[in-house]
Amino acid sequence: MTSTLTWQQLRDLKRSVFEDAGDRWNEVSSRSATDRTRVERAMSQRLRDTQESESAEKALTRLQRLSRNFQYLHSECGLVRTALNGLAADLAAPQRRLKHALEDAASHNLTVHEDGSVSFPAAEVENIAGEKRQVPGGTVRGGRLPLDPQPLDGPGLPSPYADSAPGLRLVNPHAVKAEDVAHRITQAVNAAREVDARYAKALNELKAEKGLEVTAAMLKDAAHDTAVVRDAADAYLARNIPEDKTPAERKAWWENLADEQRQEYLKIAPDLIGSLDGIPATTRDEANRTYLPVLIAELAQQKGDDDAQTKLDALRMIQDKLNQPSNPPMYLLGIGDEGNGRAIVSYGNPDTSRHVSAYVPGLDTSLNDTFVKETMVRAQNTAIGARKYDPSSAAIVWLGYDAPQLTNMHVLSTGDAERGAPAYSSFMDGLQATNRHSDPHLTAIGHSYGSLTVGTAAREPGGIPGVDDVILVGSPGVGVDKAEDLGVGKEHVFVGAADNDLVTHLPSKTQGGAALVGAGVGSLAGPVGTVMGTVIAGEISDPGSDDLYFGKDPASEAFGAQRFQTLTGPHPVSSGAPFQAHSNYFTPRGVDSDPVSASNIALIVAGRSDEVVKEEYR
Amino acid sequence: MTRGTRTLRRSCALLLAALVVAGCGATGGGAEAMNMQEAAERADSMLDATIKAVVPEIQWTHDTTTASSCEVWRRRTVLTIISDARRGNFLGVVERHWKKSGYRISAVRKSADVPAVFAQSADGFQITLEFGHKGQAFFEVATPCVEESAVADPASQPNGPAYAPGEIPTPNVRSDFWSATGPAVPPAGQPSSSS
Repeated sequence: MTSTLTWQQLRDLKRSVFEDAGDRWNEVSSRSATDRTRVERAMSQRLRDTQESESAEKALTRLQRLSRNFQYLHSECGLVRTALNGLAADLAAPQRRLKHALEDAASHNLTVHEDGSVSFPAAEVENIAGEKRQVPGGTVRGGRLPLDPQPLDGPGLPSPYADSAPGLRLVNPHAVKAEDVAHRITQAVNAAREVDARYAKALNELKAEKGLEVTAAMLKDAAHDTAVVRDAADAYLARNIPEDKTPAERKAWWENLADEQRQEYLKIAPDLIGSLDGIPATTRDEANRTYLPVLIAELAQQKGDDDAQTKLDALRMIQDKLNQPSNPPMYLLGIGDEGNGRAIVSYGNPDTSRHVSAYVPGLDTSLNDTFVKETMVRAQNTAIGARKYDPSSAAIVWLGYDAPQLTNMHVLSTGDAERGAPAYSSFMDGLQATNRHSDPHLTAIGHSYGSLTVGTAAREPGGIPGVDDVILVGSPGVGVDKAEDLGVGKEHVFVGAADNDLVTHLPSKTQGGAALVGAGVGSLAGPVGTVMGTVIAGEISDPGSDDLYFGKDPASEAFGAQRFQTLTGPHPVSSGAPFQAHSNYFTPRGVDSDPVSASNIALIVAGRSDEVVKEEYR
Repeated sequence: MTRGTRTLRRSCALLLAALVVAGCGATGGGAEAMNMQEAAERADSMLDATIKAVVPEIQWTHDTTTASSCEVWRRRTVLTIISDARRGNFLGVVERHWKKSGYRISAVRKSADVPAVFAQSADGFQITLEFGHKGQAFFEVATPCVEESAVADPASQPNGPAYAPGEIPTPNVRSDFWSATGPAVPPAGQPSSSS
């Protein structure tokens, strides 16, 4: 679709007309939502509760249809409103540029013609010999507008230059300005035409047939319509989001938005709001629950892509969990398919809870079924555990970064932790900003490689924003040699390390030569073997050292953290499950279980770290 | 680091080489053949027996069940007010019952305010008793890792109101014995609560 907008139309355009129209559509949309609620609560529900008959059944069917109609009206009219507001907002810049160009034209005594060409008056200039010569005026224009008839330049237009004799050419001083003005007019009109066409297309798609019957398919179409408007208004919606501001400033921005603007973001651009640190948890949850089906639909189209299928399965499982009652209640604080996938889930409301923990999972974590079945359950168990000690507690699992994967892990590097650390710090800063207690108690938990991510975030000046306690479990080292370097004071750094957890024995890289041999042997058995080969070789080359893969063993005396009691975990050989002890800190596991460790973590999260049962250093 | 630990680390590392090549085996223990539903039922019976062992009777209710792909956590929360003075008696009664049932006490948290006992059955079930907020007592059983299955809600009915998970109140049921603020002087016929 193309636009025939002229510069005169653009000049005279009252953008407020679109905004006023948008407001009216919004009124219809809001009223439809109210009416739908009235139909469902006051009419259908009452009918169901009080009447049982064939005619009541029939009436109910009709009422359901009415309710669907209102629902459709509500969402479609809301979309029209967003499109109109987007149109008005996106036309502002071209209109401003046009007006500046016209003002310039007026002040330089230039005439702007209907077709956008610009005439300049004759002028008197001195030639090289100092003689005054009259230089005629002329007409120029900017680049041709796509829809215009044949250009005027060529023989029809007088040249802006007088005296075409070489070297003696006299330039009319107004010509340059006229060219500049003509060019700016053309650019402004072209930009406005692009905006016009984009929104015209979106609005056209929102047209409904006469005699409308809203079917389930049409309601599904409403999702498509949302995507259409989202595409058209993308820049308009994204432009105002203060991405570069602090979470506290974003919170203020959100709170200062008009309610209808907040609704617009939630309905049309939920993905922009759902992961934004500083937005209140209930709002993020609402946005992400709206976005999740969209994401699922997108991934479902990528048939034959194993990676997309894995994420899709996990997202569907998360959706199932969200649709069931949960204790503590679930809040979806982030979701995405980038990298190995993203999911941030809180058990308990992190804004109303006095105690909030956010756990960073580690090695081999990605958005897959194991994440939903195991990793998320750890957070739920932590929340349940902490609530025994203080009911005002919430526990979060934060998969907001790409953790290293065993399948492609040849070298375990600090890169993933360094990329994840700023995102984690921002998330915690957001929790601090949106929590309603004046000084909430925040606990950072890093498991496995996640402890390196936490450590990397914590060693920045000032530590992790808002964090009071740090828990490191199953750690291969955290990138610092002393607990006091983690920004919370060493008495607030807690370490859980089972003696037979292999990852907490990954030898340091300086214990090198033998480790390489070990890696070679281990790789015969696949990537898990590579890790274990390294462990084995390191143990042989330097038994009893307190240097681990990523620095000082956090369970060592030299590191100086508080080591809490864990059960030993299954013996790696006799149990036949080499990495089991590594994930026992949260999840008691029968013979191999560790409820002691889980209880200690719960105490710390709930602000009762004074009661933690300590263990001796390694 | 103790010498014993160092030896363990070294020996397990060496033995692992063989293990890695051989691949990962089963988890071992007596619960191998169970599925999660059966493990949950076993957990329920352990909790039933534990609560039955507490005399005079306490009022309790089911709390949230959680499950991973191979483990189940069953929870029960006590509604009887257990006074500070009787907390030790309560722990003693439970701990003795567990020992009598053949469980091994794996850890004890000695605390005036939030004491806890952790025990483990021979077939790999972990049972815990923790005192928390407002002196409330919480029981929990963590099953070993078993075959994946759906898990039904516990079959037994609580001996008081059934609360929705997340809506269980703090202790609100008075007991002449457990809520008493004086030292325990058990009447004849009652189990002694001193250890």
